[in-house]
Amino acid sequence: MTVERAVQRAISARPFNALITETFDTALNHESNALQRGLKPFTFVAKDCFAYQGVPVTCASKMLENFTAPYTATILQRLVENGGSLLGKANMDEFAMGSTSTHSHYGPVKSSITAGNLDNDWRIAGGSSGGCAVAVHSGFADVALGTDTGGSTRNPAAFHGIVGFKPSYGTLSRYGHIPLANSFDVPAIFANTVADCERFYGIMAGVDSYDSTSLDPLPRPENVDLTKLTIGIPKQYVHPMLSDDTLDAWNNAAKLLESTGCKIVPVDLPHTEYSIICYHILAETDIASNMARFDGVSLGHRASDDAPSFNELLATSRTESLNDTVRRRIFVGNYYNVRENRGKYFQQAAKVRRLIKQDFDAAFAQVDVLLTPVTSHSAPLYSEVRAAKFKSRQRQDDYFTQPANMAGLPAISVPMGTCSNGFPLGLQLIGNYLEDYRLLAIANFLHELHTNSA
Amino acid sequence: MRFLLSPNVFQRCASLRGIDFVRFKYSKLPETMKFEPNLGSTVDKSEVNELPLSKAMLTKLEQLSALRFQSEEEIASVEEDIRLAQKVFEVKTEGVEPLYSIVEEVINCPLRDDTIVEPTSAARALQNAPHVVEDFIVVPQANIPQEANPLLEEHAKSLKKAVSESN
Repeated sequence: MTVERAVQRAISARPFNALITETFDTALNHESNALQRGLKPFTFVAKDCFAYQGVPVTCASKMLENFTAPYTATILQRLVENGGSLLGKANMDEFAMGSTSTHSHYGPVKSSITAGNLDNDWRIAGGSSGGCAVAVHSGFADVALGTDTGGSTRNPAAFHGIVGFKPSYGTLSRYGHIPLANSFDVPAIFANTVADCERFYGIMAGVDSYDSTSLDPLPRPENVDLTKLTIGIPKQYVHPMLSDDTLDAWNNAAKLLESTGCKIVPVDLPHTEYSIICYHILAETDIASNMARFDGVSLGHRASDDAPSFNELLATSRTESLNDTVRRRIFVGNYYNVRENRGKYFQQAAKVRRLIKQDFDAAFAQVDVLLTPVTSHSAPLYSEVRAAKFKSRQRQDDYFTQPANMAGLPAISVPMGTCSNGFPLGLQLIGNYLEDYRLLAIANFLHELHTNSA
Repeated sequence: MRFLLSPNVFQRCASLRGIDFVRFKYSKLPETMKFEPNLGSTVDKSEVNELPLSKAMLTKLEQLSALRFQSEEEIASVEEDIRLAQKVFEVKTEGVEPLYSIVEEVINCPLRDDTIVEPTSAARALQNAPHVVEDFIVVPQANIPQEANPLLEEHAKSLKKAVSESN
């Protein structure tokens, strides 16, 4: 769409609080440059943990309230060079820690699926890339760039009935992304269709000399016979917390695929129940280290200058500008790695990670792709989530999405109709490592099947 | 608590020749098989040697994290996370190689040529530093540890009290 149109929509969508920073003038410049070069422009937003030179990047934290990016993330640059117009920086959970997009210094993201008045209660946007999902759903971004460390793109995509694609680890450069957990973080894509996801992925994917963990995905496969696939249903994902609506959607999707000739097969991923705790230990270890750079000295929020010592200044600056979730994870991450613990937590978690990956390797020896839920049900109300206490909710929400991050696998949330209350549901397809284009083809197939059957 | 189901329930899920691929409906389970999804350990707080965290450990964590605990609730939160983490030790991992990064399985940390690509100026490097004087970052005196946190002293006292009361 044109930037002019997108800006109008973005302004109408302000009550949802999807953007921390609006970059409308920048978008207009991008658009006119693209047109001059004979490209067809498109609008996009980037989660506010990606750097764009000259624009604030805050990670939704008071710590980075006044931080201006000194350079531009590689994948943002690639989008702009291919016609992208950056409309704004999307709101999120602070430092990407959370699955509701409510823990932001700039106020919560309110889902655009909410009907009626937003003042006192609203549907949560999911997280941590909630702002991105709203930007696409409410119609001002053709594509949004989020991240996915434990489900942060697939979760909000499912809640909004749009496509959320987490590529294979390493295929999208992380240069210019403010890290959460380096071995799990993946930049990820929100769009209205699978075809769009594939198009924008193609623009951004591949090796970047500035990111030594970057690599190319496998090339597009020649002829995937989509009616001869073997689809795996992991037994351990059949979980009591799943709503009846989600179970029905899952069943129906499997039946649809079977009706075309695909085989549906149960698979065993025995270490699934350990995935979340393993993730917490490894991620919090990285977090304790990654967050150490936010000192208020070389950058970031600095407490008033009458601190008696350097260490006091650090402690005060950090304690008053990082939220409680962030602080807790830093404490716990440091605990796991104190000398007294002799590395036992991290080593054990890394070994369990190997076992989780081996579970997936064994499964992919039998099947082409896995079909699973994304979330246990459709988007809850903010009041429901607050009552249940954010902490326990965070652990439960990641159950279905997080294991794909452990093994770096490509995974995609595909919209699958609505629940009995009319709110969107999504289902997840997980592919083998680096088979991103194959996964996208299968996801497109499933989405078309579903759309045609409705 | 392990996510235990009787074998025949899994068999019902597994018999995918029928109409339903996922016939497991939580609401239709007998009461004896219902439970809350427990993502944590069944280990009680008192069984974990490392808990409760001593004042020395809490102080150490404050110093390593360059943060201060703000409330009893925060300390309890951290201890709860540690208690939940014990679950990871339930897995037998003898002979298993740790996995640190997925890409290490595929590529081996490529290096760039040592050539200057883009010089950085001091102005650019310091543009976000809050307090700069003539290209130097200004800080108060270093090498003095954080002041003792009175909350940790209160916390230690209340723990001692709880222990002596239960004896």
